[in-house]
Amino acid sequence: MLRPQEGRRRREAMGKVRIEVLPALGEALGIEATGEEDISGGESPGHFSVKDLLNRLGTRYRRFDQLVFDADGQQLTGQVVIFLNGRNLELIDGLETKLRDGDTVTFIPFIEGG
Amino acid sequence: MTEIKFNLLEVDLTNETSRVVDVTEEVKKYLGGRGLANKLIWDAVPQGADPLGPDNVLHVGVGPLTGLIGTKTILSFKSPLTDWVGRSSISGYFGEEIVRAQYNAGILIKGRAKRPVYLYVYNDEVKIEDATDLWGKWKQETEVTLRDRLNSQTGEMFGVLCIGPAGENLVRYANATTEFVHSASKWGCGAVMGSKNLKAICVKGTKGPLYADHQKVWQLFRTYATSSKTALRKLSESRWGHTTSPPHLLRYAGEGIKNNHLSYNHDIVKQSNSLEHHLKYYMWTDGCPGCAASCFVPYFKNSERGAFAGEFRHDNTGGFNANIMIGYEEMAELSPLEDELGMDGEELGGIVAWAMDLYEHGIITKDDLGGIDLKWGDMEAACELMKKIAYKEGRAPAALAEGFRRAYQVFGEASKWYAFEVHGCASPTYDIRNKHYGRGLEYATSHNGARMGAGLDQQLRGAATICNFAIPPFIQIWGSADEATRVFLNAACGWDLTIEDVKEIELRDYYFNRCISLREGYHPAKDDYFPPRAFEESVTDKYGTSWVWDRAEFEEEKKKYYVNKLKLTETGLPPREGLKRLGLDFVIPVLEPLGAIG
Amino acid sequence: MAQKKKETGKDPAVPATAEAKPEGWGRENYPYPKGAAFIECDEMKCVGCGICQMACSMAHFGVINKELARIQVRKYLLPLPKAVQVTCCQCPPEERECQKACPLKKSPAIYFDKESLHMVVDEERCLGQKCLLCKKACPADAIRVYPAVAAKPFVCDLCDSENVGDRRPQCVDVCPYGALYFKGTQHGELMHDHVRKHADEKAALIAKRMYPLKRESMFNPTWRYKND
Repeated sequence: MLRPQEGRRRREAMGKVRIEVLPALGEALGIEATGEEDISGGESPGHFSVKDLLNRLGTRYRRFDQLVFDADGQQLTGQVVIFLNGRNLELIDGLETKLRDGDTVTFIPFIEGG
Repeated sequence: MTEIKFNLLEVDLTNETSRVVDVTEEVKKYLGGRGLANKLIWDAVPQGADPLGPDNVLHVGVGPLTGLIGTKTILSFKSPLTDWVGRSSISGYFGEEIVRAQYNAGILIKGRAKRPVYLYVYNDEVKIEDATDLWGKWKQETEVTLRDRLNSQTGEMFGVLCIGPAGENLVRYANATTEFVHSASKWGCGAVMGSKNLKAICVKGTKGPLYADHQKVWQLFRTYATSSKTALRKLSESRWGHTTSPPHLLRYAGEGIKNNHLSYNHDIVKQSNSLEHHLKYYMWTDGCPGCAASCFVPYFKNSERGAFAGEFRHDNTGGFNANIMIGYEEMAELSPLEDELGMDGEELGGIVAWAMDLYEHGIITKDDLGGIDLKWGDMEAACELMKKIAYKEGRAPAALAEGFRRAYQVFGEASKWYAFEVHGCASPTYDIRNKHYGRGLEYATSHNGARMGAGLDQQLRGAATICNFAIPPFIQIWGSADEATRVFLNAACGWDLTIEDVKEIELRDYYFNRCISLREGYHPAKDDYFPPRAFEESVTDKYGTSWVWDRAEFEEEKKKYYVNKLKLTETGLPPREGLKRLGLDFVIPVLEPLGAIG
Repeated sequence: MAQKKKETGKDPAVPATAEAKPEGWGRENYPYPKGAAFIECDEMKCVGCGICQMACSMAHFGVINKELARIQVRKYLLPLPKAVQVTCCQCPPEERECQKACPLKKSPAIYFDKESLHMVVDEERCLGQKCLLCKKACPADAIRVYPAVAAKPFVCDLCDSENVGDRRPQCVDVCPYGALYFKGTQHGELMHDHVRKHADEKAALIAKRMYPLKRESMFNPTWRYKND
């Protein structure tokens, strides 16, 4: 017999995304250089956004949270630039961009100089 | 709370007169800096005017926040390099003197002097002084002579902005500097000054800045100055300045190596080590008024060839040393020459590398170069070329002094493939092929040239004025750049802006700036492209990642960039409704015939 | 967003960190000296931000105006930009040129108050702009004038404006570089004329780091010591 929770989980599970980060940045963020993340259990049922991913990583890894989110937890610090399948998130739908099975999310340190 | 007034000092070099104009209403719409300059240029410079002629203007812009969020002075003008709207930004205390003299909307310079002059501003005393004895002098000598002279006369330390021989000789990417290492580099502002016979601008202000509520401003500012977030920022900025980004980018195919041809090159990168440079030659940390995370790290090198003082930054070093195959040891000797002669280091990094490439491939000869054997990695040959460019001596140097587009006409079609330029401007750094670190799309869609600073999110900075490197702690403390700007503006000016108001000013300034370029002949359909090499020649970083653009992909990304990042139409034009909503409908009759309304 | 909650108060324009308390880099670990003390400038750390000047003018005059500050930061070009601070060293009695120069010989209008332990200008008795002998006498030019706002000269009083013995130098508190120290005199050796130098003189000395040899390639500033 299918337990109700199991059934719900199976209905929500939508695949995995691949996470890539430069080893040096990965250490700073406290995450592995390459990893996979299950894209289920987002804020809105039926889809998992980049924002959901960041929240999850931020909850799991304190250094990620500190580097990526500002003190109020309302905005990104901009220290880490996010790419989805090689394209800058800003050119898609920003944090609301929905993730799909097989996507690759890359974190790049923000480099500036003038 | 009373709102403050905004005073613009208008100087007419032709008639050698000046007056102070109340521009409060315009500043409310556009802020100061490049925002106000949009209006001044649109009104004062006739369409199609010669940028090196007397009809061009130069706005030395400050804004209500200059000195509070770093000190940036924004020069706005019609550019002799691109023929479009030019904007150049410079730090150092020069801009603060303008604020303290209470010309809080900046200085607008019009016309052309009949002989070499310098502008003297000491509070209300404005004079146009003879500079015949200074004309021809290199930058150090100019600045020190003026500082000493004015100090003897008044007992005060003036802020001095001056040009070198390159500006005097109208090299199209000549720069202007203050305190020798702070430079207004981009788009030929030095040539604009040179074309007006304006050798230097000297300012001293002792009245103090105009603020509506000093207590409130201080309360906000002190929060920033004593915050731990600011202290942390200092840890990265104040030791290294901006010398750590080039070595990082060199490993990730983010900077040009050998005229942007080579993939990662171990030898060059080994010789481009910031720590080695720092330990040998770093003197101290220096900064700008109001900034608690100073980022200038001047160096001094004494060798048997002489003494060399300067400052490595990303812009004057990143796209330059590796691009011409020299290391930091040689760059330490070349870099001061770039400042002394007065040319934009970013442009030179591309131009000199291009010249070396053309020489290697026989498109220019030793004769063309006036006898220079312009080999890769030869610092002295590069210095010789730079001197010749500054004085336009010789067939090739004179052509190079005009920038890529005009040089094509001299060197011919064969030279074009080697040129790594966007909009006719060198793009050696933040390699455009690199989608992670590069700024390809930013350059390709820029109506200023090929450079950061043209985008929508930069307009507020250029108008407030705000230093990009000073603002991060403000963002962390107040939550966003717009909010930090908003609270400071309200306290300093006596206004009552909302976040929406701030965003509106930003968009208005961005559209208006783009409209000036559109008026002067820029059009995204014909101009927003990459050089062929960006599609045909890939580069690989140290760790094996390769970068090159696909043409179809570029066109698609560009469209998304226009719409998502720049709030333009898919064709890169300002939308008609947006222009009307923001009070810019007066541009429509001018731009419509050019097909430049979205 | 991830667990953080907004820590700040209701008014977003005035975060909780607006309290006038230095925080974050150990400044709070330097207790204020109890006895005689002065503000020492660590010139090599100064970056020229002038925030000390802003704090000073605000504390004494209620406005931000660097000209109204008792501490001054000057920028030089050596040929590299260098900032140098200068302020009153609260000189010991034997070296106190300003007090000696005051024409009110019996009871100088500028004097060191032995109770509150800092320099004081008695504005009622001071002769003001038509005298200024104290300013001319100070080798560091630490005495300031600004006739448009202040009738009489003013000098660093360690931020004890009411002269009640409450010394809290605001410049020291706010300097982001720790380039100012509020130091007590351990054995009386620090309050001495050897640190009392004009900013021009300090700059010329720093410049000597860069001109040990004759140079051909760059221009020599004129105010180098002539006997080099």
